[in-house]
Amino acid sequence: MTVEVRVSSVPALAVAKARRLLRHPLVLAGFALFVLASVVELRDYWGPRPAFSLLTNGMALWPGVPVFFAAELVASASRRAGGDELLGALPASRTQRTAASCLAALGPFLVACAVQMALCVGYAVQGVSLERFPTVFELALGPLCVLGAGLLGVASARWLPWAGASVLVMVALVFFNVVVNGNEATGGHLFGFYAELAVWGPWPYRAAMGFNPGHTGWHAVYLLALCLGAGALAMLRDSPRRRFWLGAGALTVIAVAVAGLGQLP
Amino acid sequence: MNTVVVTNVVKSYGRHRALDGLSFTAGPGVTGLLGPNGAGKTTLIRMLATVLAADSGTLRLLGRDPSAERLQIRRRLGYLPQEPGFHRAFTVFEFVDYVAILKEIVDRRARHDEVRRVIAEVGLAEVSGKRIRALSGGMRRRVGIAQALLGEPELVLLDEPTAGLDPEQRLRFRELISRIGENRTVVLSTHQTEDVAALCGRVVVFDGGRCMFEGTPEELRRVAEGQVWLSAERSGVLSWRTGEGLFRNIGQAPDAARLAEPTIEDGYLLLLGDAAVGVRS
Repeated sequence: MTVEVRVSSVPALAVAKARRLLRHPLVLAGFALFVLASVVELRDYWGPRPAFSLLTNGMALWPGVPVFFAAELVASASRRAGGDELLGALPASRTQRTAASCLAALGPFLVACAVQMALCVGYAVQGVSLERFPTVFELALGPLCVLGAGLLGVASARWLPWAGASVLVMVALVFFNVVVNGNEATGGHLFGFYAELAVWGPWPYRAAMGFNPGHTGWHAVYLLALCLGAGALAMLRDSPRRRFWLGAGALTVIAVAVAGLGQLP
Repeated sequence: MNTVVVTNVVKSYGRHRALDGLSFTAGPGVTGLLGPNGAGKTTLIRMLATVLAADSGTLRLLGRDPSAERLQIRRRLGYLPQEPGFHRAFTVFEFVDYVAILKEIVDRRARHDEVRRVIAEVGLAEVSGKRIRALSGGMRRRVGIAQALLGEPELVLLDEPTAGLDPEQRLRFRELISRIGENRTVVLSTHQTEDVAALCGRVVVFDGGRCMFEGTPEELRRVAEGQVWLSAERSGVLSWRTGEGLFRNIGQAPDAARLAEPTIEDGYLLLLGDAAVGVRS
């Protein structure tokens, strides 16, 4: 009797999906805007506050928001094209396709890390003045927001397969962020995804005003737990191993709660 | 050995029975599933593609049970649904390559070779870099065939592959499908008797979810032997005026009629009876 050895198609599928995601016009535009803002910052120097924000959480907006929409569009492309019938008869299951979409979110994350590193080098070369240089955790915030945006886009495509649903999800995220951002004095703003670490102070933001309270290391863990939670949520939709993914989701909820409290001053 | 064995299969959608105790077999070569719209062709093809499960009855595909060994069957299956749902922004190569990954051809070089092979086999090598949205309907159908041929499947299922094609495209298509059927089992659903006559070694006629005939196209033609008449007057429901001005009547002989040579279409129409022209009892 011969034993058939098959290699999972998930890694190859993830590479293909990551390529599609990175070539998506929204993602390209998002990264282009961030690079443009970085170039302008390096050339004109807006002051220590904006420079610090750009290097830490700037990516939450650009390319974070476009990556969310692009991930949703790429993950739902087959369904929107009416291709579920064809794909349903192929060996790779829907669960494997979801897993590949989740792994593909690492593509924009890695590009975000590379862009972030390039910006660090740019700051060093240009001698950009900061009140202090960001920690590794603070530098990780932007790329983590990009990763979370990609994973949440996949979860949105799986759970809310209706036109316009992703826009509603984004509106809800922005609303939540606006609400918690009013709590900078208590550190409550760290529950948001776009959380200001430095105090901007009055225009033109030239004076050093210190930093908002809270533990940025725990904030990075909090964002990472949210990312993993979004991934577990996406996988829960179609996987036959629902208990496993429910358990994983529960663990990420605990991690979010612990890190969420840990980040408070 | 029969690649497809369907025994007493029943499938219902609510109160509607799409398949009502259907049985048939198919082996190597091209087998045509012939029936009017709503006969249950697509339901059956979806079952053979392991996308849909039967309510009762048994299916054996490639010697395996689809309810227990679905993955093993899918690895040896090629399927072109009626609406393939192409990603229109993809190029031909990108789309077929994407399906190849989903067919577990993961080694990049081997996969690209296979993608190039099937694209060449369907005659699309020159447009492999073109976006699917820029292709004609016939070319898109060929892209659908190309993805179905990936990995040299032993069983190829084609749901209405010639629907909406012009005569020239249909001709090319027939040539392609007959070539594919030379060394594997091809099951195609159609409501075009010309396709069956041109392509199929075996034909299964069904209506209302039941098998009404199973045999060769020649046997289907002979069903109408001695029952096709040319006359100056119309007779019955299955009757129409031909280009020569005479009425072609199927069934009872009208007055002053002369016997005509039957075609596959005559046999098909005779089997379906009134249902063939949309009149049901």
